[in-house]
Amino acid sequence: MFLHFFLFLTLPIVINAQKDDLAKQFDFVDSLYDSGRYYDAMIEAERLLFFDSLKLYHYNANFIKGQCYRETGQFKNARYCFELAAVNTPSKDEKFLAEQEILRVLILERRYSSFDKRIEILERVFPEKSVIFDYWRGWRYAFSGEWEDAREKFSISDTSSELIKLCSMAEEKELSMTKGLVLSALIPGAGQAYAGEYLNSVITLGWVALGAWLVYDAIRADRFFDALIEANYVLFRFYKGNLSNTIDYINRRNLEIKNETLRFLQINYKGLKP
Amino acid sequence: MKLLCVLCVLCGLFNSQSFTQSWEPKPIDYTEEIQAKSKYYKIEGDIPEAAFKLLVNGYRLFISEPDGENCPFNPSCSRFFVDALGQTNIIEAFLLASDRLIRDTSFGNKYKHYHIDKYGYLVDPPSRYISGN
Amino acid sequence: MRFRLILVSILFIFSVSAQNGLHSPEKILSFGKHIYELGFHDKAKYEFERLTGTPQFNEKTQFYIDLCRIELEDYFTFTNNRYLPHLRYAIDKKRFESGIEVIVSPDRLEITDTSELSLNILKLKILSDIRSKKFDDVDKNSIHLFGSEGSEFLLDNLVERVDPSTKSPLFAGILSAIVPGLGRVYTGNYGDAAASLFITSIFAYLAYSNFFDGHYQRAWIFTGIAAFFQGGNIYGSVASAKIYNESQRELTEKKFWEYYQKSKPLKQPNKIVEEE
Repeated sequence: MFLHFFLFLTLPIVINAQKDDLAKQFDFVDSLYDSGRYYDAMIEAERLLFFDSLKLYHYNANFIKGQCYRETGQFKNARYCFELAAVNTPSKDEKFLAEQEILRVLILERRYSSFDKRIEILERVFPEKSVIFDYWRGWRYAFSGEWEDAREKFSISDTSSELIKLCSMAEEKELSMTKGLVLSALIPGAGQAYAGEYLNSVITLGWVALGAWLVYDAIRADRFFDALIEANYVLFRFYKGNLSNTIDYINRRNLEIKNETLRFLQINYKGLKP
Repeated sequence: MKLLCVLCVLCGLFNSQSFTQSWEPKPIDYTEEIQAKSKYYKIEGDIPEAAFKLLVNGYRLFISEPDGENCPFNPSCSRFFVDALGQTNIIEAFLLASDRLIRDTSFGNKYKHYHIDKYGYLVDPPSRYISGN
Repeated sequence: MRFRLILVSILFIFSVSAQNGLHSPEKILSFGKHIYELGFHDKAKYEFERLTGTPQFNEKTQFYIDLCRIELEDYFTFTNNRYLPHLRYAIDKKRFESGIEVIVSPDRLEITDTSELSLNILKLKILSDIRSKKFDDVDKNSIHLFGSEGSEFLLDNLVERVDPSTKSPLFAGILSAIVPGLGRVYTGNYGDAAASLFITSIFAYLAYSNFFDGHYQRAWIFTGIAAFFQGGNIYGSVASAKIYNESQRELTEKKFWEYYQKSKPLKQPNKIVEEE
């Protein structure tokens, strides 16, 4: 009887000793992550997971693993680990944090349709966090260069208004694709000039004019087949090139504006960001 | 135990050169890559070479660029010709260029026959066709 | 008796408390095996090496260290112990998977030996022989090891390698010289064939028409362009036959590796050792 009682008393010591080991291991993983040794941190987190039969640290270890993968640019693995972290915790707050990390990774990966689908589901699970979700939606639209939508979402969630201002500035700077295409359709080369490519604009106008003259000349000489070939290989070809160049130059210009804005945000914005 | 672990990890680091390469911290970059436009040749070398480069630059400026994004291939048709010229003789380069122009006009589904690069272009270097390769 | 039990219990509790937590030799060994399976071979090797001087360090542990070395593509540093045949198998398997031809020496093949290792060496020999278009009596008698579906696939794959369906570049060139684009029809590039016919015919017609009408300057320009495209058409037809042949070879190789990835016919060396 005494022996049984004794064993009963000492059993928690054994369990606590194991718990202590896990806690120490977690601290160790944390310190490795903090010192930027991501590979070691990931392996030690894996050790923690491997021996944590009671799943006491499954959330934390998977979360750190996800962070290690993210810091080393292995986004797919990072998402997988954050998913595991989310399913291995009963706490709603912890689940939300893991899900938020997934959203951040999806933005960095520019996987916008996956982001949209995921956030839609998350809004139903965490209705109280809708403001935060709008904030991340704002970032998603900023990354895809949809400044009007980004501004709208930030205006719901961003209290500092810094992000709203930047979105408005980018929106003002952005070139209009419709305007560029209409200009090019009416006066070949005008869309290129609108995008700041003046030399190309002049050459394009020259080619289209030459093509038109060649066709006119062939028709005047009753050589209709020649006119058809010249129209196909000169006039229409360069007219089509004029339109596709307008699209290309405007896209490039808008991408430059987007990159400039995002670079500024990455360096200077102090709030939570992807 | 912490000390032991630190020692272990430190020793491990020296044995894991190849694996740790992919585990180096990778700075996050918010910006998106802008596809590089085909560059013009720097005019240098002897007179025939310089003249040829000038000719290619002229073609790019006055024909290729205003022609727009018509060429679905990488390298583009002009680059293909120049590369072919570097890898073979002038007659074969012309034959290769002519063949490329025909394939460019193809009425079939071009995307079935070539590998596609990250920008969506069809990978089609002249080395694929040069006899003996 | 009771006193002894209490003493044992106390010793047990102290031993558990004082133990090196997650770093006891047993735990290091099991964790090493776990991360070996996950593919972190450098870290797994390090875990196994940590066992040096402990009772857990034996021939099998050494075998695991050598396996990690092989996975890290070090084929030359390994220990000579009773797992040497397994290691030779592991090296051959790794080399085979890297696309290198594996030559299994006859001393390693004892057909009567039905151990898992021998069966896998035999399978490896057959797979490697098929890749290098060889097939001897040993292979013929043992192909059933891959099952009925597997052996049927492998035999077909061998036939495709030995006697591939090819197109003659010369014939393609001649066809295209007679009718522009016909060589490309022969190689299955119908879209390119239509383009060849269209472009060459148009410029040929323009040349003919201008000669007919007496516009000789224009006529010669169009003749030059038509000749330029006809030359490219013939050259391209020859090249397309060569590319067709190459793509057939690539397809056979691709199917072979798809089968290998899907069926996993060769057992992992560590699994063989664990099962023995």
